[in-house]
Amino acid sequence: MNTILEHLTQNLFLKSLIIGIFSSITLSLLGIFVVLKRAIFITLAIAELAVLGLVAGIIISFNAYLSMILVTFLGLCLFSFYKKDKNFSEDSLVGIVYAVSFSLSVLLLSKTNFFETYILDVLSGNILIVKNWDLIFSIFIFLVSIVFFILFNRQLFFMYSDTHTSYVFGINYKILNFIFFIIVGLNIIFFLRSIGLILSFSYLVIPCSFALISSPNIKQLIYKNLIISVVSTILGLIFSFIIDLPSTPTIVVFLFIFGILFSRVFKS
Amino acid sequence: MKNKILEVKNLFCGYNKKQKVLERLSFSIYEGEFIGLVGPNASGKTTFLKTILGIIKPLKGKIIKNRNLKFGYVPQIFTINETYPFSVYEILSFAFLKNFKLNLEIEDKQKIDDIIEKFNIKDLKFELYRNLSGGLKQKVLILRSLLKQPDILILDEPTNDLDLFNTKMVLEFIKNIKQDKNFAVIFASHNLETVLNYVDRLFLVYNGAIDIIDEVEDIDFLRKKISEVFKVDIKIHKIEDWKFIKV
Repeated sequence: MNTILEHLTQNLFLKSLIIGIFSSITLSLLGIFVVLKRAIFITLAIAELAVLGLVAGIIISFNAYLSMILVTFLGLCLFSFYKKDKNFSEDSLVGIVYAVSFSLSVLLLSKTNFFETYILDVLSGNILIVKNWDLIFSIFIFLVSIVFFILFNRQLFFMYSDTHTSYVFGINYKILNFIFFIIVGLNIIFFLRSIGLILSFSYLVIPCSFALISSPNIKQLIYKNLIISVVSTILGLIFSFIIDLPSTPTIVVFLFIFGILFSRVFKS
Repeated sequence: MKNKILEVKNLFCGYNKKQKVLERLSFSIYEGEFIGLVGPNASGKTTFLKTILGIIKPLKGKIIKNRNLKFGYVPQIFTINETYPFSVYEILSFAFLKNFKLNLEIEDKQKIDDIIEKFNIKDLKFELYRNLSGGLKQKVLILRSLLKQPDILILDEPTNDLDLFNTKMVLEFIKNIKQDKNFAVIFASHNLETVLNYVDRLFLVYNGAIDIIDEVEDIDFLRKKISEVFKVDIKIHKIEDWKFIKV
């Protein structure tokens, strides 16, 4: 096992490919429900909380993963215990969390010597800093997410399309919704250092949005969503290695271009 | 004597103690009866239904249900998120979902096929739900609730935004399926005339309370009561078993 991991971590392209494929599959599958629930902005706030946790962990020399989990979990609890109020909407809460956590991250980083490098690493990831443990965590969260998707996808489709009826019919919305966002949060946390904030967010939103345009049913939506995310990742990585461009922004551009072409071809 | 299946005692409904929507509600629901829940827009019909269903906790009072009482629920169609391409079959199959259930069992699939066959919607089986007319959407949602074999079927303004033809289709459809099964129906609407012609009892929601009319066939009493509750002078004419309301 160790030898395999060592071989993988030494081969930069292979390592990028593995992490790229794992993250593209899990995040794009979860993205189906993010788009259905219209919770795109919430996931952005979760990602920002993870960044704040990472930065705080580095500043106080605490384990990066633990601090990211802690801060993200606190944020998720805040969203979950929010009660509807006419004078204070959920959107406002999400917006405030996003803006404040982003500002706090910048403030904390401004007191360090590696402000610019770190901001860039957080936004677009850095495959070079990925260690064996990062790879193991990525495989772990990949497996957890796939099992969760297989077990609960129908329940999630039901509760995010018709919340009240699903509750009356016996689906535990509160718990399942909380677990869903915990899993989204963990995915962002474990893939943040390797693929960065922008690509994590892009996997959640772009493939599903384009797959939706040309899908006449749910099965096709899932397959097309996976095809767009995985193919764009592979093409983007190859292209970025050949031309010597930063990988994650290249993949985002490929997601966009391939998404458009794919949806147009299949729609016609 | 019909069996009591649900009893409400001194119920207060609302979203918080400062925002009480309905107060001091006490009544019972019996098996097989058809109740019309009528009131102006924003009078508290949906809040009342959500409280009965357990979606909102009562602010005060008790809801005593029969053991294993099952609810069927048809929400207002605009509350359903139609972003994704669900087929009619998929919408119906949601009736059998539980917290931990991987796939539909063979009996569940059989029940869906039976109901599709029985209610003549075979052609719609793989149609997209979002492409159906308002009336057909309601029909599919009602059938999904029937698959739960409910003791009480709750419909929240199912004829809202429907034209006359579809309104009649939905109401006749409920009337027909009720003849086969002995479940109670609570039908919320702001259209008094439509509801009046189908129900056994009327629940008038007005000014934070519910006034119950047990005798919907007694035209004179009905006229007086509705005029009193809504504070409008109305006339009710009965022509060939159909009651017309004139304000």
